[in-house]
Amino acid sequence: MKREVDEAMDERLAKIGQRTAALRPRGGYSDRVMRAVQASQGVGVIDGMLGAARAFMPVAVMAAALAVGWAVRADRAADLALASSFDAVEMEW
Amino acid sequence: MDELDEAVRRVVRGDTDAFRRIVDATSDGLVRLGARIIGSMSEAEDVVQDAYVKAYQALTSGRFEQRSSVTTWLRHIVTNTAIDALRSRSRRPVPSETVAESGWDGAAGAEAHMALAELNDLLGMLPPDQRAAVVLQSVEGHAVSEIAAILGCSEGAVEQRLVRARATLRERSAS
Repeated sequence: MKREVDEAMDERLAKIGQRTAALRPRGGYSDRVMRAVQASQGVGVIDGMLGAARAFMPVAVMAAALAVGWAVRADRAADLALASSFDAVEMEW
Repeated sequence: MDELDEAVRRVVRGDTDAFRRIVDATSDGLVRLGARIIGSMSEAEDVVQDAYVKAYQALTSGRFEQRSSVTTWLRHIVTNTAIDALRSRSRRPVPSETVAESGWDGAAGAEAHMALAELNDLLGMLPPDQRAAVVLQSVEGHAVSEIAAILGCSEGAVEQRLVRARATLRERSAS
């Protein structure tokens, strides 16, 4: 009984397979797919750039911290230079 | 098949136009497979388009290892994409596409769409992975070993899915 039901179902599905053999995508389908593929290339480039940017982030943070440190030191050096130049002027008086 | 392999080699080398040859040679069969699994031609066209984009990206990034034929590999991507699409819509059942609203031409097309609606009704209650296994075996006529390659699982897992699907279909035909 079980086997008969399975065989009947297989037969029915096989007939549906034959009846659906004429199914085809609509005209211009290849063009549509190629447009999607080409669009994905653009997205791929942007994704690649974002990925590279993310990878570069730690280096950029370190460079920014070093730049701030250098700026603070340069500022102090400039302050010292200015202070000593005031002293020099006062000595001349 | 040699022509397809040559097209694949050209795509890998960066020739995008060669991918059109792969699409032209395989889209009829892949859209038919997608439609049989999903039960709708318009959804199948979308699913297969997504699958082609995935395939193209895999080829250009060197992720196609040529362990199986190009056709089997594409069927694998289409089947997985179709199963994902079925899972994502599992909580909102989509009515069968009617011949009138489908916009497909020809009497043969109309008959094919009626058969597709019948298939969708018949397999509608099966989980997506079982549905795909039944379509691949009983509708497309693949052997269990081929189905295992397409689904990316063992032959035992395929047999298990088919046994469960048959039990569900038997229960339904008895009720």
